Amino acid sequence: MTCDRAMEAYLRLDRDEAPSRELAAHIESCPLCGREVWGLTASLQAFPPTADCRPGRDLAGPVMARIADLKAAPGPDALSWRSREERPLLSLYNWIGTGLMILAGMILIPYSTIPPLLNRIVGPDWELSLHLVLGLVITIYTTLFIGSHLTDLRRLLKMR
Amino acid sequence: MTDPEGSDEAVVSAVLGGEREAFAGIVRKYQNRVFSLGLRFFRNRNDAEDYAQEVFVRVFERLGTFRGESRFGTWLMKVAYYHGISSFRARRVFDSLPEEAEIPAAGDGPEKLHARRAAREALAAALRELPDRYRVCLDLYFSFGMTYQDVAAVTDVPVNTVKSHVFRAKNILRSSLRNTAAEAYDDL
Ligand SMILES: [Zn+2]
Repeated sequence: MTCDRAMEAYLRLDRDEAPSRELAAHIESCPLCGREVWGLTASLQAFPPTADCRPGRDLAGPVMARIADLKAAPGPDALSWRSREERPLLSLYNWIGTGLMILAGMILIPYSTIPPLLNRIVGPDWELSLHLVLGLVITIYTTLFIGSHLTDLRRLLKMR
Repeated sequence: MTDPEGSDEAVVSAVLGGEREAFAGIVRKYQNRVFSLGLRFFRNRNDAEDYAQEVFVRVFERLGTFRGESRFGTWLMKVAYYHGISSFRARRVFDSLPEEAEIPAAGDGPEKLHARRAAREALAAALRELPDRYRVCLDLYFSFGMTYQDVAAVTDVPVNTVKSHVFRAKNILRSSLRNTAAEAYDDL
């Protein structure tokens, strides 16, 4: 095992993950890698314990007081962490499927029996009315999609 | 994310069984972690405390949906993380290294302080170019002591993405330690 490969394998280890026997043997026998591993371990262990900041008071009191005010006790019917009102009615796959079907329908219209039928019913201006209807369908689809994904959209914008 | 007492699940069962008071134990056990996460989302301690209280009320309300697929601590942090994401409107930048991190713990020797500063600077460098979503991942890994799997479970970022960002940060730390060692050698 070369030093480069040993250090890469070492850096890829998860927290508290034991190194492979080959890696452990290299670190043991190689003074260069041994020193680097020692320095890295010391730094990571000395990492600022910012996850242990203390609130100004014990929060159990105020939390328990708020819980006492809740009407329902928690149970299997409680809302999941993604609350029901947030959960979309249709999955993303259903949305994409519907979109593809609308698109396929639009592409296939000229090859179908719809144009002659419309020509007979609406007259020579049938193409204009067809475009109006299709435009309306796309607008409704887009509006529904955006409207039902506002939470995700907001989250996405915030994370960027 | 260790659970030394291994009793979280027992407490959850007790609370679901009607012993609401048992929930106070959960609050005391996790309040520092949740409050610390709150300090990342809000600039001041009051907002972070309010946030932490809300998180615990939410956790209580949703306790029935905890299925034990992950550890309770991981599940609780996921609730906290999503609550933070959806409520930090006042600030648009997730602060991975709040001011409190500067305060050294009592009894830290110069070596430990040096190692601490090196680690902090390296993480700050790694964080600089990352979008918020991945900053949170590094913070949860390095400061909250989570594993790759825990970070992925809390944030819903794919585990391989978490691994590669952590790897990059560790590499930066490695180079910075090398440079400091070289400087120390030059000074001799
Ligand atoms: Zn070596």
